[in-house]
Amino acid sequence: MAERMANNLSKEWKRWLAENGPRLLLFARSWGKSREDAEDLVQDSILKMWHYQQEEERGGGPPDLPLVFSTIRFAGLMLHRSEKRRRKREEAIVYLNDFQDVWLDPMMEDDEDAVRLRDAVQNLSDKLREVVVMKTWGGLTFAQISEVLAVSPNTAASRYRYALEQLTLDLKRMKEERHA
Amino acid sequence: MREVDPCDEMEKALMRLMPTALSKTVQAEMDAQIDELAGSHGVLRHDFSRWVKWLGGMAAAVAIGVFAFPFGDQVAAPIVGSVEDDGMVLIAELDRVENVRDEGLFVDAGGSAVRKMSVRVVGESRILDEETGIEVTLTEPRKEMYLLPVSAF
Repeated sequence: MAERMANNLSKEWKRWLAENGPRLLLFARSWGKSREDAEDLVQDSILKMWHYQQEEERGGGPPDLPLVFSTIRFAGLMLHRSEKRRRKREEAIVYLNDFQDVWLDPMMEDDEDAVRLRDAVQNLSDKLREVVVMKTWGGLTFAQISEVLAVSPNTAASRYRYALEQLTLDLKRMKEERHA
Repeated sequence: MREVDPCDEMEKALMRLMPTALSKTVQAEMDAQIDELAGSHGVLRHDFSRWVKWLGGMAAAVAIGVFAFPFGDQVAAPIVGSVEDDGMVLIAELDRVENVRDEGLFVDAGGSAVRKMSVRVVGESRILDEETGIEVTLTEPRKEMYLLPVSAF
């Protein structure tokens, strides 16, 4: 009986992870300087969530996505802070964030428009990009995003709208440059 | 004709981008971790009834101990005995004083002045289940009252 319960729980979590892993990785990528860092953030957050969900009143099943986004964001902030302290100690090193490793399915690498759009998304400011990621690939509502970011739903919605406008302009500019 | 909202167009374009999956190594690591955690979760649930049974036994032992030895320290002896019989070992016991409060001066039944001190104590017992290696800490907060005779003012 206990073994069957453990098996079901394990299956449920694995299914959830297979479904949501990519969107969590994409979100975590904003906080880690490499894909490996981002994967560590996802892994740590999932483990935290596991223990949190095992408390009696939560039933043990997979968590709600907004909560995981919040946990990743918090873990990311902590990582960023400790990185900043470390970087101060090693001032000579310059880190470059190369997001190409998580932003696009490799199947689409030949699609020029998709690649340009990916570049435009990664050029957005952190504030705007995280809203776009949570809304578009995380499937969160503005109310949920506002909880993750501790801002009002209106602020979340206007950041999203502003990000889309900026992406439209960026793409237009990129196309004009190409045809010039 | 209705004008196309450029933001709608952008949303459609964004939906074409697909985030990549977690690497196979990480996915495999996490799957293994989930299996491990789910397994220990199962063990914990399974053993819960054993712990309940043991705690019930311990409560009965305390009751018997209090009944047989109503004065203090000897109460511990039957508890440890029942613990070891069931594979549960009492590894440590500790009383921690959390707070001491002076409740003021009172006159007791004999007409003598006493100072009443209220002490909040937390008793902690660490118990090991030898079969599974699981260790639990039982905490039992209690309040004790001391009456100290006052000989000088």
